[in-house]
Amino acid sequence: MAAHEPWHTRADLKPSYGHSFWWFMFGNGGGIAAVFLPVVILVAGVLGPLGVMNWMEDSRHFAWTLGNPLVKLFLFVLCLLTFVHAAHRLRYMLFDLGLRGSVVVLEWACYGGAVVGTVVAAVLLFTTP
Amino acid sequence: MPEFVDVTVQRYNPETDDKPRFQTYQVPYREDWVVLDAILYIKDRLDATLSFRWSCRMGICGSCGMNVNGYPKLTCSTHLRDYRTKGLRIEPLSNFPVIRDLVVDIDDFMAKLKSVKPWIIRELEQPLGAGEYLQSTNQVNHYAQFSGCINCMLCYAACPVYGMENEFLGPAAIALARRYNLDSRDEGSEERVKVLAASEGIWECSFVGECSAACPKGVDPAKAIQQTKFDTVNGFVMGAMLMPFGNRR
Amino acid sequence: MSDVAEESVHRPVRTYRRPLGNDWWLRRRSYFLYMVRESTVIFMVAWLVWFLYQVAALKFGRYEAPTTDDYAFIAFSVVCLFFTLWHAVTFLNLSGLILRVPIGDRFLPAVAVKGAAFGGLLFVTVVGGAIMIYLGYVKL
Repeated sequence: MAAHEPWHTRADLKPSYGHSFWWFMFGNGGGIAAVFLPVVILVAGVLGPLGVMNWMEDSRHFAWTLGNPLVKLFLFVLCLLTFVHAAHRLRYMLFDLGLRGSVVVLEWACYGGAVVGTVVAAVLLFTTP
Repeated sequence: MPEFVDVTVQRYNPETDDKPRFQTYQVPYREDWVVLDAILYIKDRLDATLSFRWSCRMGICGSCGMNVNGYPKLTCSTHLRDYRTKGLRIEPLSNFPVIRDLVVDIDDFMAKLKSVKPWIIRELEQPLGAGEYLQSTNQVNHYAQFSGCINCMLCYAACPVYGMENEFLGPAAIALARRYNLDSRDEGSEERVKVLAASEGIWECSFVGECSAACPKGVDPAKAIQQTKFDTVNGFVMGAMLMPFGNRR
Repeated sequence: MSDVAEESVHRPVRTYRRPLGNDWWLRRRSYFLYMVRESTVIFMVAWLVWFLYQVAALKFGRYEAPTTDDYAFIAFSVVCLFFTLWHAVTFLNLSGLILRVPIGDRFLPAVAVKGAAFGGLLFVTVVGGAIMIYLGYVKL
């Protein structure tokens, strides 16, 4: 980031609505993901293969579950919020690890990636089965 | 047989040195000494050329902040007995330019502090005849914790974001801005939001939390920053919903 | 202040700046734990990407359900679950700090907000888990 004059003399300071928006999404996303994602991974990722949970055990069951609009909506929102939360954290993490050359490129890559991921999730979830 | 502690101090003379070097002194061990006592002993008896800042020696002026074994501390509040066997390494506060020996350039912090206008801002001062501004205990408690800041800058030394990006407004400045924003007598929140919510303001913080860990006064600047982020966003959302076409009080 | 004094005060000095380096997070335990906390999102996204891949497989008729023999996948899920829980605990721990719920002149104590947040996690896990497991036993 370019060096500026001392803060108390700067006339160019103004609130950043971009940062505010992404932080808002990050905060809410993190909370929702924190509360809802563990059970989804537990059930679909661990209990499913172990045979305790069956709605992914074959195509028919999986399609039936995904056919429910509430399920689609829930999974879509979960993906959206988790991707945005992750994008925000990744942006800061990569900065922390040394990628400080162009913050603008970093932000486009991270938040852009989240947008792309969300669009892919929407297409897949809302058109399957 | 008197006991001694090895105290290794970073030395830097801008007129003769390209970069800092270390010098080790043997300081007598005293059970009741603090690190500042050891440094004062060095200057007094061993090496008068050592430069450093100190003042109250009781943890309230914020002058004596230095890195002790790699961690920012107030040297007047750090006991020698905790380093009796480890040995002491004293360096100037991290993340600040070093002027000489243990003295750092704090202009950046001073400018940032001033930029958040850490004083009561009112549109109209109450006339003297109206008496004092009244505050309940609860109203004082809203901001009391953040008013404990002694401007020692240990939080800036602990903050890796400030270390990487010197433009960051920083923990103490934001905590003090919040102290005034939360003060019921103050009406300056809108004026401060330009500074706080700027790109290099609160948004640079990624909540490492080391500032609060390092703070000798329990100010919890990390909490202040996150609460400021939350309140700022709420303010924007409320402002957009309630006053979409402009800002009127 | 006289001109001479001003000049001597403001004469530029060659200060020394020590660069932080990119390995700063390896130098203290607290910094390292911060990095771990930040990296939990990678596992969360990775698992969701796997899930979306399964949806895509279903869409294109190539779906194969993971079974008990898929040790690699189960291990992957367990690791992702571990880091997702790490994220959940560290994130919800901070809810009490940030969310100030006004009650008259005061605020709800942070402990209560945190309790509600973790209570929410527990509730969703138990109730949500029960619903999801039930869905699998519905006769088609």
